[in-house]
Amino acid sequence: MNHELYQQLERYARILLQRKRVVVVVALLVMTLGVIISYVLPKKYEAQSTVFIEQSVISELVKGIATTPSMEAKIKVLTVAMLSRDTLIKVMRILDKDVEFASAMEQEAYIKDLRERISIRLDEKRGIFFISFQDSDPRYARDFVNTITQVYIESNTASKRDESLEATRFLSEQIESFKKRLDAVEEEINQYRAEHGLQLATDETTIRFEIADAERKLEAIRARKLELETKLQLIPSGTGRSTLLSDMERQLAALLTAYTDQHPKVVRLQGQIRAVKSSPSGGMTGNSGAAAKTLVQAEIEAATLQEQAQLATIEEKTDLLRRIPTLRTGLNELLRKKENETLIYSQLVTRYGQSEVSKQMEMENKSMNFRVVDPAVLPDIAVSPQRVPIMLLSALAGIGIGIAAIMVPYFMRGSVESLSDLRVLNQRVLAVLPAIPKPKEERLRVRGDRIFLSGAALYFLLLVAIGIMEALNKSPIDALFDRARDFWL
Amino acid sequence: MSRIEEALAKAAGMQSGLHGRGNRDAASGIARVPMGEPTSVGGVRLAEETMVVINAPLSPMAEEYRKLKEALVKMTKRERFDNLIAVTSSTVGEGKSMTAVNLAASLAGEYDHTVLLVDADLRRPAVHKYLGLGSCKGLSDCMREGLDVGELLVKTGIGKLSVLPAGTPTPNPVELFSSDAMRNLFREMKIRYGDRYIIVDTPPVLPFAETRSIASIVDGVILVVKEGMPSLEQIEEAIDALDQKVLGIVYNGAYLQSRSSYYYAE
Repeated sequence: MNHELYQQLERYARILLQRKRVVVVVALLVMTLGVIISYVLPKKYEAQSTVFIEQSVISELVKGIATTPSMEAKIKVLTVAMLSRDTLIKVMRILDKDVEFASAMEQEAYIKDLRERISIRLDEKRGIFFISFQDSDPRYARDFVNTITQVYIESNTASKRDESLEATRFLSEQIESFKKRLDAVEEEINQYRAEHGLQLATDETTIRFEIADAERKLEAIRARKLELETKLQLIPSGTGRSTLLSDMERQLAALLTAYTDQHPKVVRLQGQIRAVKSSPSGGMTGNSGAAAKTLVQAEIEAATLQEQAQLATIEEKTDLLRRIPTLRTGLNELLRKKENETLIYSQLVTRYGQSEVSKQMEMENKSMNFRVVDPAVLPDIAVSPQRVPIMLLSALAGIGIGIAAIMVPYFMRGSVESLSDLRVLNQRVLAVLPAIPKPKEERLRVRGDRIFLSGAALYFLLLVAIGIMEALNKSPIDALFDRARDFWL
Repeated sequence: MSRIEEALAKAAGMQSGLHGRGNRDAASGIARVPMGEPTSVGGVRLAEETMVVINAPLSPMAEEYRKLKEALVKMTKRERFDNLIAVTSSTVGEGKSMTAVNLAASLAGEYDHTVLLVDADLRRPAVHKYLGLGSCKGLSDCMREGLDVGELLVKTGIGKLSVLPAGTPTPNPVELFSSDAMRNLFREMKIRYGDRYIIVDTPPVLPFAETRSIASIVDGVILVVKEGMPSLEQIEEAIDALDQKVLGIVYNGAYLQSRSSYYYAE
């Protein structure tokens, strides 16, 4: 602490000491006021009842599976139910309090007041709740608490309901709907499979192989057919072999002008020329030639039919090959639809199960059992006004106000408090005269102070004694008032 | 009979004789003798404890008054002798009368100075109480009735200190002090007692108007400031009202934490 601050504090202490009588008088006045207020304020008694909530075993079992209402939610419901107009009116009726009201307005105002005076507190760990009520009449407070507890427990027991929860009903409806949709999808899939099962079962590679095989066969048939046609032409029909050969060679020469020697027409004609050249020079004559011609003609027709059959097979297989992806996509679409429906359906079924348990839990909670552990007893000590705290506070306030009564005017006045304060005036300080002690006055002052402080101390001790007695619940003033009342009455 | 008792008796007799009235109240308190040979400070003791210069001339407080006296003498005796000095304060109860009497006594204690102490605080005269004088005619009577100052002076027996008491209580001191009679009176005193200090005890500056009138006549003003009483603003206001004649400040009632009294003796 620096010197200046020390001096400052010393100065304040000196000022307070100089005017200690003011500080003491103000402090004692405020303390006295506190004591008076603590006695003048109307007394309030509080009655309290302790109720045990019997927890359901199911709650513990289904923890995590189903949603159970929290204790806080429970007490909220309990509070609302207890403070409802119905409950309070019922209690008032039982206690014959309802006859005291001249109008509904008065009764309403009283109910509002009651709600403010009732306190419901939960001790979650111990599973108990406390109902307390304050009133100027201790008997009424006790009766009120006991009655409201009883009324609530009775009404709670009577209000067990078996109605199902809206959520469960909703889920149930949804499950039914989704079940129908799922069945429909399954039916559709079955039908589809029935229709296109063979096609869907066919392997694409096999089809491709079959097509290739058919093409090969077709080619062979065509070659045979061509051979037969050539053979048919070679059968003697009145025209010379040389003429035929020359015609064919002419045709070949004409074809070679337009195509390469690899062209199928060229290749075919070359084959025919070779066939003619290799055939026996004698040739067919007469009836044997006609019969051979007919035979070849028949073979050609058979080959034509075989060719048509192979073409039809190829076309059919190609068409099948083209349709297989579309069929599979359709089936997959149906399967996905079924999968979605199944997922939602299974979720709904799970939720429905949870909902069912929750519903049962709620039912269980609604019908939870209450047991009055400690019924309210007649309170013999008033909870309000709290005299000792009021007295203590008034003592502190008194000291504070007493100091303020001196220091506030001092600070506001801004008096010159030291020689250094005069520096700003630029005036010469001719002399510094200390406060001249006046022994006689000082003696008188000290004597007066002693008398004053002794009186103040005695008075303070009286106040302290009252406070201590109050703290020990032995109110001397109350006893005094009671005696005076007994005396006068 | 002690010397003081003799002086008291003599003073009482002389006062009666001066005014020629048999029914005049006998002076109570200490010596009230006509102007004559100065009496030394030593041996006199006043009932008022604050009269430290007289009661305890060797005390630290008396030493402070001697400092004040020295400072005043230095300021007033330069080219001309500014002998008419007023003592005042900003507000009531700052110790101006006590300062005036102690200063006057301190000055009068020296062989070089003769001092006339004038109680110009007609509202609440205090000089006579400090010096233990009885009520008698004084300044107000001089102004109202035109009495001669010389006739009303009271010899105190404290060095060469004589006092002009406030006199008969008057209901309108402001009017008296703003009159020409007051100006003439103080001018006359300054000329008539040109060789002595005239210390004028006045009312406080801020609540009353008289001091402003007196300040315009006197040669200098000593402003008494008591610790914890006036604010700086009040002091500044008082200085402004005193016509720039403030010689200096006497800081009164100071709380001195560590004051050595080793060198002082009662």
